[in-house]
Amino acid sequence: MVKTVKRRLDNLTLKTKKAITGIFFVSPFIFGLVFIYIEAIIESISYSFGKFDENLNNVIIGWDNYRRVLFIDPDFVRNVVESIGTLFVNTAVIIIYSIFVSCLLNRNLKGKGLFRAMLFLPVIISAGVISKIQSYDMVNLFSGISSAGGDVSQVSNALFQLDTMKKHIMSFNIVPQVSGVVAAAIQNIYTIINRSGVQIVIFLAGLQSISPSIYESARVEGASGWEVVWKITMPMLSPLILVSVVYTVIDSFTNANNPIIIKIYRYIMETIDYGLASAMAWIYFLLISVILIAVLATLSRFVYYENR
Amino acid sequence: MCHKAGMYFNTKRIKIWGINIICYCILLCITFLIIYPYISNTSNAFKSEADLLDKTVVFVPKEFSMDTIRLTLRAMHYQDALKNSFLLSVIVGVLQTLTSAVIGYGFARFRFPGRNLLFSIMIFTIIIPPQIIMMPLYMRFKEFDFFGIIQAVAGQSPNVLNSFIPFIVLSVLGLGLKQGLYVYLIRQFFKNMPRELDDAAYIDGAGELKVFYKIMLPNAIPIMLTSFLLSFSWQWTDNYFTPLMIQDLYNLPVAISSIGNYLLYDIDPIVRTAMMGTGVILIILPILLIYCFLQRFFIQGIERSGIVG
Repeated sequence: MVKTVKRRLDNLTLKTKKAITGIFFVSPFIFGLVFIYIEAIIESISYSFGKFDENLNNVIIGWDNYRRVLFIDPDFVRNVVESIGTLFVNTAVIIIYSIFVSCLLNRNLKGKGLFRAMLFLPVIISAGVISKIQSYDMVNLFSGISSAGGDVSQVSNALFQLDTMKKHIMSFNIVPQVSGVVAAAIQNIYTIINRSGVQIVIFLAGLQSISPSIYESARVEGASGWEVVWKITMPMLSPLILVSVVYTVIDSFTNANNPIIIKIYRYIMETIDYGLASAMAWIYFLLISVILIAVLATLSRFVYYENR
Repeated sequence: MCHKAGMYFNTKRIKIWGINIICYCILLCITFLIIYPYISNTSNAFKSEADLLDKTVVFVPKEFSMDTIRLTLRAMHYQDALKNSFLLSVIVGVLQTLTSAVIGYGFARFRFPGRNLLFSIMIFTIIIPPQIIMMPLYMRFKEFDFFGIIQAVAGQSPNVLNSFIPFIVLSVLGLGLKQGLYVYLIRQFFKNMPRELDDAAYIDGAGELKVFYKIMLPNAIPIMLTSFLLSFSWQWTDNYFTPLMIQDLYNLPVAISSIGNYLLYDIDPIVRTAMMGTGVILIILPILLIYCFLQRFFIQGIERSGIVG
């Protein structure tokens, strides 16, 4: 028996052997899909079409949950539109900010390793329960209410008078849209700094992978610094901009501080209306996927790949 | 001539110095914004009650006192919580990293039918918010079974909630919290390793498994440490998934929320908020220590993971 199996294996082509080994390595995931994941997804979809009876059995009631979310719930649609608006603004600001900071870090500064480590710190620290407490803390800090004693509010008043700053910017009113974006960016400054650790590292790695000979030849040809940025640095970074945009969108979508996710969680935990929560989650998920695909399709036209 | 060259040299140097100083200022501002909450929390932790109320005391307390820290440690039952958190996070971190390495290697180095489909499902598991499948998973582990095998043997499907089993199962099957991200990182890393490396090993007569753990894994240590640190610290602070699966587990996120409930009879609200801040510091302290040691590999791991290029 063992011998025949062994002979069979010996007779396989190299390609099939490799394929079998590959499947062997991936098999935990395949097993997980079959065993848990697909079933969980199907179950979640069926919850969104149903309602729990007293014995916690799911009874299918059709599109009722979706109708309630979209047409009866007064807040959901407004919240989603708002959160997608902030998502766009935040993503744009995060990308610009991280490119800027990674350019700073790419200079030959002393102690840049320390700065890099600091900038990456929020990725590991401010997650889960800490980010929850912090977001609460920050609100207090910025509105001038003391977060931990009177001294903190003193400092925060002196350092970040965000509301006043926002009013000033809005009062310039040269281009209302632009000043709106700037004001929103300033208001979200903590979100932006805390969420851009990964993107900074990605861009930094990208900047370091651009070979100096390209810059050198550009300088020999007489390109100005401005031209170098737009004709060399940006095109070389463009694939990474795509990656970072996708990462940022997914990160803010699955973030526990996202208002929609909070709303869904509240429906699960407090109201225990799991059908409604699932319906919300699926609508939101579909919407984000559509946005992600649209953004990918538009951005990938501007992406420059060196090897192609 | 010589004089002129010297002048030029000097102005150029001054210019570079000026730009560097501006860079330092900007970076210092940003890092200050990042660490400001932690600094203020730490300084509050060492303040006495009088200092907390005193507005003239900013960062350095007039008299150091350990009262707040002692009170917080007691309110959180810090040692128990630390032990539980540490055990769970280490288990989850190690298992997720190892499984991700195995799966990522399979995706990176072998062609098999359905690979691209499977990989897109992997990406899908990152995008889908965990809240969607939380409840089905809960139900699944409430009546845990292996294609009906356990039921056939033992007569009924066991309830494995309130144990580490859900976490172990999910991590081993590559479905842990954000595990798709680690698989993605490790796959990118393995993809960029030169083919000649394993070809040489195959010619010397090594099997696939041997190539994996003798050649590939040692090279992948930075990226594996990265993924370990990420999964460790995200598990450490997780307050969504863990309380649902293990309701009785007393870990650090539960401990800090219990500070709010710990209504000490006549404690000033200011002291209570200071305790909250101290709790935050106490929670992140272990991760910070690990980060200090692994930080070098961490950034190197992401840089070399080949997201770039």
